[in-house]
Amino acid sequence: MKITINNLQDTKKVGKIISENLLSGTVLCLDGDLGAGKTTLTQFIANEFGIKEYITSPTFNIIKEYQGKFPLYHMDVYRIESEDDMYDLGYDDYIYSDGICIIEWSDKIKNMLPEERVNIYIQRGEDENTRIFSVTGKGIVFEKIVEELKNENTCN
Amino acid sequence: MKILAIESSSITASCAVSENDVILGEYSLSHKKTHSEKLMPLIEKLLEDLQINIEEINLIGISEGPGSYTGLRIGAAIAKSLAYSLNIKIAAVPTMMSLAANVYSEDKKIISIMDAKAKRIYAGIYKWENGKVITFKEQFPSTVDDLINIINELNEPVILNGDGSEIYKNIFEENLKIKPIFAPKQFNLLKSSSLAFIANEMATENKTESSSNFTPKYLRLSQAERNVK
Repeated sequence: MKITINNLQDTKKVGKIISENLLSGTVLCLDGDLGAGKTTLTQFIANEFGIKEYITSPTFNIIKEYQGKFPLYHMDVYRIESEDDMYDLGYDDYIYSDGICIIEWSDKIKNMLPEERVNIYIQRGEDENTRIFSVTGKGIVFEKIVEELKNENTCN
Repeated sequence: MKILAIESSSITASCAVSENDVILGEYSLSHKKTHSEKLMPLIEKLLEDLQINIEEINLIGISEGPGSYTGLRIGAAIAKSLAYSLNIKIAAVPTMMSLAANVYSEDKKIISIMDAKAKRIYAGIYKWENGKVITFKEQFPSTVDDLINIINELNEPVILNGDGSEIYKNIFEENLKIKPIFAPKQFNLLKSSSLAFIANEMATENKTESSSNFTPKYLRLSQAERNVK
């Protein structure tokens, strides 16, 4: 499904919906150009998730760990060159953990992603603050998020 | 000969001290994967409670893998640094062999299976002979479907243990031509006492290595190898 985001307030709403539906072990993939708002969306999700710390982009660190309702692993795999690199970070231990994984630039490791996941592709809209979120995926978390986003959309 | 056995390849952090084939003590935690925080204190406590000075240890037994990447690296770091500083050897025990040693059978082969997620597994096939665990098929990475074919080709009743046997029990039950025996849950957790037992066997067979030689066995194909396939 596609939704149009007009401002930060909308992003916050989406972040809340996602956050409320995350289950232990969920993998959420965020893709889109530099400055599209991947980290911003993550910040809203994390906030709703009970994480007090300020979330920064893990471009340099690749993986950052936070403690919320469950552990949150925030990854930015932009600098990853190969699947082996990812494996050498203990990727499997994160992806199949009880925590939540949010992966920015997930397209880089698409062959390694689990089948059940939520993908959000963020595109810039016509004006500066507009974004288009394309939500795809598989599994119960994906289905619930889409259902709630639809409800939210009809309310507008 | 005193052996310190260290197990960290899965959710279980475990250490044991044995003297030849006698287990003197074993501490295990199967709670959370916090081996980096738990394992060293666990070893310290075990030695302290057994009133054994670390310098009395003659061999380090380590679960070499496969298993959790991070877990194996923590275990390897501890095993290598202890063995190096004490100037003693390492017995690198195949993790699936240690798992098989949890179960005893005089007539049936034991297939130890570790879940590697997404229907991938690690497995090994072993049997007992004269009180020793003998490797029938060395540990290997596989899928549940491929392992089923391998077991069906054996064409005999087998014992399955390990978390993989639990998680994929229904698939095994449906697809194995000869009904297997599933080991009860308590035999599916990795134990450093089983590891110490195998390490002792390896020491008598001179299958130990230097601390600088040892590396964990992830049993994962490199990208180049996967591309060839």
